[in-house]
Amino acid sequence: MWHEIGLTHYLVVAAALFVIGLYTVATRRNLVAVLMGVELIFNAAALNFVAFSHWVEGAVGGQVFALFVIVIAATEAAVALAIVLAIWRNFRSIDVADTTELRQ
Amino acid sequence: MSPAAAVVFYALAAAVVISALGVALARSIVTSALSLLGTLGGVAGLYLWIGADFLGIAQILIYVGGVLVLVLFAILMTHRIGDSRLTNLSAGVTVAAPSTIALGALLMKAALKTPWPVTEAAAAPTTARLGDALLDEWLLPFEVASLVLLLALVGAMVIARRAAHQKTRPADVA
Amino acid sequence: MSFVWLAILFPLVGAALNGALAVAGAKPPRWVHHAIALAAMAGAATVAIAAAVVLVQAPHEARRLVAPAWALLPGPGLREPLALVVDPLSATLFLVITVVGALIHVYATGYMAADRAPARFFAALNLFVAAMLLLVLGSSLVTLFFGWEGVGLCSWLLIGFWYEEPANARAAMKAFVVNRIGDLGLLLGMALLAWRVTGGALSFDAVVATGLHADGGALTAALVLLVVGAAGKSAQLPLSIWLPDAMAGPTPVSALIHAATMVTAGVYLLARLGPLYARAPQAMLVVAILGAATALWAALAATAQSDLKRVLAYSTISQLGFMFLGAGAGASEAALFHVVTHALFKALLFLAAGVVIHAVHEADHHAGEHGDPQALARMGGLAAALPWTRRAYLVGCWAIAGMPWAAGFFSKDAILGATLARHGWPLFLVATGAAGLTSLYMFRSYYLVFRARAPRAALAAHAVEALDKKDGAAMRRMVGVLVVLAGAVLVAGPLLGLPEALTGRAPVLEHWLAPVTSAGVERAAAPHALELVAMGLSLAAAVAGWALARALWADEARGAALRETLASAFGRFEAPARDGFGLDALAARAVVAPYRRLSSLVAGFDRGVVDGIVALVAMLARGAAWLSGAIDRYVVDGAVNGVARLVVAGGRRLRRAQTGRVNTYVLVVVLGVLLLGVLTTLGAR
Repeated sequence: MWHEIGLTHYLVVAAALFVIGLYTVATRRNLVAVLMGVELIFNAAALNFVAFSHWVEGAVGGQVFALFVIVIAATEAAVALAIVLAIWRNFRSIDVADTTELRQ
Repeated sequence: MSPAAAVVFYALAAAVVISALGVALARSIVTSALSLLGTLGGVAGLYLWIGADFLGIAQILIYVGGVLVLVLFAILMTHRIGDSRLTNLSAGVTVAAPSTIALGALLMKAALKTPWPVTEAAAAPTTARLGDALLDEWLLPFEVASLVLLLALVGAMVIARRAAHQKTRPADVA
Repeated sequence: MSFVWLAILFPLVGAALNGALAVAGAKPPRWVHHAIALAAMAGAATVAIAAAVVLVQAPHEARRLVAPAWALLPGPGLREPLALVVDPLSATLFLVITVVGALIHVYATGYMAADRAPARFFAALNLFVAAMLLLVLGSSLVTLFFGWEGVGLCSWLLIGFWYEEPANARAAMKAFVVNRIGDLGLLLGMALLAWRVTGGALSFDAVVATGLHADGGALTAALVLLVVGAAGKSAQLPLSIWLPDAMAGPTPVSALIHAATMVTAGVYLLARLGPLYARAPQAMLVVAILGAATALWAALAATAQSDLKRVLAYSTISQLGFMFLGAGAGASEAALFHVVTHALFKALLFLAAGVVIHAVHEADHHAGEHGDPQALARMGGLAAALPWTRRAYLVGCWAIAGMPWAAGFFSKDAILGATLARHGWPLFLVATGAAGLTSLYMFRSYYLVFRARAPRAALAAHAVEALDKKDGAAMRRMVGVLVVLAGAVLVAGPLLGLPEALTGRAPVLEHWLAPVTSAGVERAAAPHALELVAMGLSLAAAVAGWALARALWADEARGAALRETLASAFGRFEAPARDGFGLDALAARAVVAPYRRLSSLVAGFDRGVVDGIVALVAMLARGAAWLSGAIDRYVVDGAVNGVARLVVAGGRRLRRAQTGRVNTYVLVVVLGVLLLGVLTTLGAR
């Protein structure tokens, strides 16, 4: 089965990518690193869509979705990184541990 | 399919996963950023392998050319120039690792066990079809997406610029 | 016959009034206090005379007035109706107490004319009379005891009247304590009687009635115990140590209490139970020996005294010894006769001595000197200054010495005769010796006070001048009383007591008293010859005493040689005699010192053990309190605080979930999803 690449292969890769992205978000103290993790998650989701669109329906809907994911990811990256800059200016640090104003 | 295609796929998959691990575990933030480059590129390769040509190219153009550059900019703007050891610490690994691994196991199990209604499709250029779909069936999301892009542009500018009342602190210029 | 109660009530009211004035601090004019006291005494005396009149008119065997009150001591076994009984015995003393008492009250108004606290004085004096009357008129041993204690209290009040002087207070305390020792005997005797003899009743009627039929040791033992009580009150050996010191009180007090009335209470008790004593020869012998020994011992001591009042004090002890001797010889009537005559002449002597002392005191003031006004050494040649006093004193000496005609002659003779008849020559000779000494020391005091003595001539002159200036009314009052008493002394003897040997009939007083004191007892009538022998011997002793005194002291110069001889022979006895032959010192060593040691031992026990226990308990209580506090602080508060701390710590730990970090929240989402997945998987299975 290993040489017959199918849907499940892609799903597994996407799952691994997703989980690693989650790990990055959950663990990293650098805000930018957290954002990079979020990008990983986006990519995993888009990969899933594309895989499904190829193997399950044959329609192009999945790819459209993946396209939109890319768009939104870019948008989100822009805004988030602008926020990071603002945080940097206010806190002089982009360590997550230092931006805990909402901490109880 | 030919074994060569399978090998390529595995190579691409390995690149993606290893690069992702690099993002997750690298000590230096710049190393993480460059690993992200690898991941994004690998994903683009996977798109191409599957026959989503437009998407693969779009991935490279937007992600690698746009988002990654943006990330690098952010990194370099938010750290002191000259601080070679750009810190990138991890915290809470003891809880995060097991739980994410467990989640991953769950997902993979779901992926492997579920009987997907698989149909084999032929590879075909997708650009025209994508364009049709965007202007036909997916017109509204398309327009909304463009609006979102505009708002994001403006919003990012607003957030990122220096406020008028904000004084320049001497440390800022360090 | 309840009017008899008035006799007690009047003095009681008088005491209450004067007492209230004293306590309230009011200061009315002096005559108000005098009037209250004298009115009370006049009332009491009137009642006494009225009762005596009633009694005289009754037939000889049935002379008895009963004045009951209410039932006293309503307890099991002792049913004593409180009542006063006037019979010949109590009537005699009734008259003596009220009449002589009234005279002494009059004297006191003069003597205490300058005192600062007349209200307290006359209140105590009246109270004393009330208590004494209760003692004498009571119908039972219990009422007698109440009166007994009452006179003891008043004696204490009056001896220590000038209490600012510590010596006076000590003397009062001494009298009270020694009396108390005697009272113990009295109480034990009463208890023994009630328990063993009478079966619970203590009225005189019951006691005499049951006692006459009782035999054996219980009765004798009880009677001897009662003698102990009587000896305390009547200053017999060895309980006599209080009387000489009691002279610290004002002279009227000495006259009334320590000569005429209180000290005779013991004799009264013996006379009251006379019929019983007649049946207990051992008890009677004890009484007789006690009386004779006391008489001799006191007479010896009296000859060596240097203080006028102390001479009279020892004289009183000696005369009381005579009375006891009489009671112990079966001649209770004679003893009571002597009580009456002694009351008259001893009061006379004391009051006259009071005038003398007053004169010396005034002379000192006049001359600017200071000294003891009672010291015989400072007196002499006062005949000119105090003529009537001298005569009165002389009458008193005549009487006490037992010279012919005067009261003491007959009464003493009666006692001596009875002693000879009943107990034989030894006691008789002892008593006669004492009588001779009586004459000696009394005339010694007379000569020393009134006859000319060269060194004291100056004093005498001062006295004359001082008294001329002094307020005459007070002096006239005092001397007037002296005259009245002297007259009574001269008259009482023949009136009351001409002996059978001379008249062929029983003496008046004896006849009067016989139904009471000799009920149911056949009298051993002394043979007349023996009586005459006794009379002759006692007269000889008296005259010899007078002659010796005259030779030694009447004229200072002439007696010097004789005095020298006697001084070399007997000189070494003088100091011991003056101190009463060391009786006081003996008492101090034998009784007081061990008692003090015992008290300090007990006090030490109290401090060490009792206080120690208390302190221990307190410590335990403190410890318990500390423990309770500690439990409260550590356990209870600890629990409460612990819960609070737990909550806070828990909160703090839980708060850590709110890290404020984004990645934490993502992790939480992951975990939630995981949880959901697990649950779904499990659920699907």
